[in-house]
Amino acid sequence: MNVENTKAQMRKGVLELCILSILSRADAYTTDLINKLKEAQMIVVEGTLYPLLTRQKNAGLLSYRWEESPQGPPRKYYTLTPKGREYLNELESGWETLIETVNKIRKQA
Amino acid sequence: MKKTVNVSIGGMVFCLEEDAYIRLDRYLKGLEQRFKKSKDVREIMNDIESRIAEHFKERMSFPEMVINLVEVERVIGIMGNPSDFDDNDVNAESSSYNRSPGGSRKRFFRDPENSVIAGVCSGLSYYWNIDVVIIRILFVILAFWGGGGVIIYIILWIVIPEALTVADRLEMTGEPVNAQNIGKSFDEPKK
Repeated sequence: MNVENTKAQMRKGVLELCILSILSRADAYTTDLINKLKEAQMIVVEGTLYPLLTRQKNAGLLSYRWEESPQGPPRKYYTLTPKGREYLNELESGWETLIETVNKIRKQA
Repeated sequence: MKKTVNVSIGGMVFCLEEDAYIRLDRYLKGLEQRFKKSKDVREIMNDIESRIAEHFKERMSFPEMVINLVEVERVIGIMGNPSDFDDNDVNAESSSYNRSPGGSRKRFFRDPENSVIAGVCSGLSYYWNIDVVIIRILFVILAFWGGGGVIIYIILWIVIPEALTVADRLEMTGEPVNAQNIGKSFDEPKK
């Protein structure tokens, strides 16, 4: 057993929720997302985010558009789709319940 | 003085030192290998390349700046090694990826620093992990035994490239080409 490993697994479980939650406030391009998630220590290496975003996009939760950038190549801006918003609502209620139950168990012990 | 390689990453042109180029190329191939089973491998790789380009761009204080191995290692550290991606991330049930991070792979080179004639035997010994003395004895026996050894030696001499750069030497010995190893081979006195 490795405590860092377990913590990483916990973060991974709620990473999807975090991505959708950030996008629910405003559209963002990948680097914005990375910066926010890194700041919150939700991801350690940046690369792992890309397969996840692609998966969410393929599942119809996100869509993206290209926008010109002041320097460098065009950027991919992600938007939450109506289906993504629904999915987020469910994840959020799932998250609330989870916190509640976990706290209840911890206090009993 | 070092050779440089011009490459386009995420639609931008960058000039990389040769060892930095080899390292980055292997890293990207390693990642691609990791995502091979996902049908979105192209899209994911394009996104990752764009991000790498962004990182390089941020560090470049002037447009002609050459990207070296240290910078490539820094960006790889930020992006993560293929082993940092678990199977769930890559949409695959099982993964055949079990090479070391950076994917060290041996290549056939002649070793000019450890040679009697042209370094063919020495190169072979690295490639097969056999003591060079045994290979030399075999060649000598073959040479006396109908002269086959001489012909084989000459053919190999022509066909196999000489290990000229530090990166070549590392590929020859099968050590991963990274900043520590390149540094190490400069520190170590040459045999």
